[in-house]
Amino acid sequence: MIDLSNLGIHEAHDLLQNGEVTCRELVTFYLDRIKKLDGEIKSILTLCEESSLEIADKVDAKIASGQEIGLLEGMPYTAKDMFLTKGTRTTAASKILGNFIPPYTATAISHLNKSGAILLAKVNQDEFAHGGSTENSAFQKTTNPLNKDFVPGGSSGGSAAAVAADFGIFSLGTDTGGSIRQPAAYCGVTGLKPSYGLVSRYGVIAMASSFDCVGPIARSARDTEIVLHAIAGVDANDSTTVSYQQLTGKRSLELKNIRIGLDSNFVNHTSILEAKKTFETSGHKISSIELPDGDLSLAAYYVLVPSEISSNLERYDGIRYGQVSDKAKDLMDTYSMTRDEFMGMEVKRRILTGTYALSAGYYNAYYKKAMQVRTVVIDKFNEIFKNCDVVITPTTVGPAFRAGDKADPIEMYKTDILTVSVNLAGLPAVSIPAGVDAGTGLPLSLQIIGKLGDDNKVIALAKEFQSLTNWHKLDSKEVKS
Amino acid sequence: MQKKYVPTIGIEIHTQLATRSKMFCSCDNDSTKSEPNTNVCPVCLAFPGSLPVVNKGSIELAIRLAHGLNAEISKDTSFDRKNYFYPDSPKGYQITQMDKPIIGSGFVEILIDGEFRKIGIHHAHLEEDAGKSTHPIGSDYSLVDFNRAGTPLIEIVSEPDMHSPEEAKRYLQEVYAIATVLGVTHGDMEHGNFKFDLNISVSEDTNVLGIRTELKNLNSFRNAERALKYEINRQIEILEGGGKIQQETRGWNDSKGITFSQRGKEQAHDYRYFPEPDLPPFELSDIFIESSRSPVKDIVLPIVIRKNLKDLGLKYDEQDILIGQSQTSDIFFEASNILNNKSLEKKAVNWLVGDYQAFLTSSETKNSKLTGKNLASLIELVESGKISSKTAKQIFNKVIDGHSPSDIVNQEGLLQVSDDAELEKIISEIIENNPKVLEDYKSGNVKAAGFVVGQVMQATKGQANPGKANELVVKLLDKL
Repeated sequence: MIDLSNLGIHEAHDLLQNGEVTCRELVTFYLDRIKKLDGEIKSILTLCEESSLEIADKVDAKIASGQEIGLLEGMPYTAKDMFLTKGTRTTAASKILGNFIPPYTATAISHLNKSGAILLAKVNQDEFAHGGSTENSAFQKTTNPLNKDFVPGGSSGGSAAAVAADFGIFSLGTDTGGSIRQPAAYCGVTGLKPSYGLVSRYGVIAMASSFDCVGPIARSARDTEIVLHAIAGVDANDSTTVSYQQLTGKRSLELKNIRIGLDSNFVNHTSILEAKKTFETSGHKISSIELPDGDLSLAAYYVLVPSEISSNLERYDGIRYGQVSDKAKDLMDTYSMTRDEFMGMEVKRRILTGTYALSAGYYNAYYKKAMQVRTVVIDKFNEIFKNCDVVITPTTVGPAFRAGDKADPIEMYKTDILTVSVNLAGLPAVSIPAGVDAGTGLPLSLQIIGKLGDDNKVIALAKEFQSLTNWHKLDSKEVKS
Repeated sequence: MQKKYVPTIGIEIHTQLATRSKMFCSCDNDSTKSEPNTNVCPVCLAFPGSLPVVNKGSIELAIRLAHGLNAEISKDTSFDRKNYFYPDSPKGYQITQMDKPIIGSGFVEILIDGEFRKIGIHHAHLEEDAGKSTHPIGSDYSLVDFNRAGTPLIEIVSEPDMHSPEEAKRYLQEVYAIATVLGVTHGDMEHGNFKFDLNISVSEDTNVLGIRTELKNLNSFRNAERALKYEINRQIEILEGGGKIQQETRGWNDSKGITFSQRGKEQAHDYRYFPEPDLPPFELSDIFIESSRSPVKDIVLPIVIRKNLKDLGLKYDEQDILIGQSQTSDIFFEASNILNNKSLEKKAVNWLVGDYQAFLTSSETKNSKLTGKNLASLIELVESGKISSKTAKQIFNKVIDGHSPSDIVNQEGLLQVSDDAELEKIISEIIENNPKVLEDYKSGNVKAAGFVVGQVMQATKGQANPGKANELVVKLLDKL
């Protein structure tokens, strides 16, 4: 029997196309792993066993009849439970949507369906993506597959854990302030946050509309690129989408003499030392820059995002779908009891913060001021990209933290400090493993940030880095039950 | 002595747009034949993950309306969220325009006390309607129908430029006429196509506004006038009694004919407006604005009709007939151009508000082929004495059917005999055959002449011009 662990898209595709393994065998391999290992990792919320085997058989029939299959055809993947999947429960890891069966499918998932990829499971996350550790899920706390005492990060912690645990070849996540990159970093996998507007948000449960991005988590930058190309594009149902061509320009890129910006604050970080060494070898030039102030970005982020959240979550009112409190006696009860009973602490905290920031008398001091900071951050990045092609930073200050360690919400918010400014400006960024923390033995990652629309450039550089290093070659066999 | 109070009125009109689909989704914008909650989709039901997409048709209609309101189009326009919880508000917020409304300041002219006055438009903006709540009497539940949710609306906000209930009513009627003639709304008031909120205050000092109340959700011009009259008196009575007006929202109870308190200032909502992040701000191109305006560029605006008709001495209600029927006003303007004479144009109006309305009321099909050209020609035939007004009335229905009046008259031999020589011949014969007539006439009995005229009419089967006949009879009798 061929060893199916740690497969990337091209390897799996070749095995299928050459008939060395059937798609049913491939899907079964992952289903078995999930059944064996997820009891402890707790990354899966809803397993799509029947439907995934059904599609696998169709792919097998196609191969058996001698036809060529597409690159993503038959590729088993998982998706964060923010993505609506028609007929399959979608919860955002919130009790208020605990039994919600969507009547339609998110555009990104539709694209993958069309390309023949197979949805194995819906995976865990922080409730409504509010968090950085997946401890805020209303259903279960996901653990880091590399060390179960540590968190996988969040909010796409289920996605990162599923990829690290080899539950499928890739996963779809969402990134509002670092929710793809931070868990990817904590779990030692590759996470891509595309330019804002590159991938449709239609059918993705909204956290903060002007920040939310859909992107892949995978075992390599090469695989995230394949997935991005499948899901990107203008969607008539999402007015904030922009054309792929317009954002990315040419698809093939020559990487010569890339100018890399580096803030002096990070020069001694393990991932940066590694990056400097690698990129200087390949002839790129590293120059000193000053990034937008992290504290300022974080403050603006935690005003604007809760503001949008407070509005986006108003629809969960117990009237049309989702849970409703059976104790409610009148309309006010229906609202307050339903939301009290079925929403978690962090969700309530953000709704209150956002409601406050938008209220008459506070709007100018908070929301408006934060919007001004957002403009400053955008301007600052524009300035930086006049002299740089990309900017590198560590994805996170340190490695994954121990479960329960960040009980103070402010401490949790601070884990986003290196990622949020990217979302304020809508830029593309990729997180790739680039070292190991001596104390915990857990991965440390590098973040490559590009200017708006330069998605291909950050991916190309990440691919180059991964062709020259082995940090991304996580061995899932180390994931023990 | 009674103090003099001046009322000040400002109005917000909500008009539902005549687009094919809803404001932000592709659901049919007509739910009149749909069962409750069947004309809905994930977007207008605010399902998780759904996103709004602006209906281009609503923008086009806004541009048309701006034309009618003499208002600027704001090329840079954007949407905002207005947050509030209510069961018929599916998203928990309404998408509206706060910061950059699509229609800027403008004005509407109204005719009041025989004069035209301008009422300022502060701005008008696009937004979406909510679903419809019903509260069955005696039950402990309410029902919500989301078919209406997402219906495109334009809210037209006036300046506080009106100072009497009559003026307010005229303003409402004028805006209604503009919005309907431009095809912006179907104008079905019974189904809520055109609703308004009235802001009203009274003050002794014309330089200082009084504390206002808002009368919400009216949908008839008459009730707007009644409610304002009631509310003005109520406010004056409070002030006369030494009391203070409460700033509040009030409703109108139609059967009791009174306004009643609904919500005080302290219960006013904080709507937490902020820019709608799901819809990027957009810029309207000159080409788009021009192409949106072009279908209505040649439509004669109500005020133009009103000015013409007022010149002809028509009363307000008579003006309304032509303003309310764009086909009829088209006929009028065509005829009026040909006639080019005030007294004849007045005759054209008389036809249109009289016999023509009678036809439209009685006809089932209302299938009229009346043209301004034929109407003008009918009027000219009477004026030149070629046919009698009686004949004109008799053939009018055929003219409505599209026949040319001169063709009808020729084919049916209805031309009046106005030719002097021929009439004189007939008259001479009658006098010869009735010798007593001359005798009577000479002895001073002028009625004898009338007898001859009657005989002439009989002999010509009514085709003689009676005036002409009379003139000739007298002339001949005098000569003899």
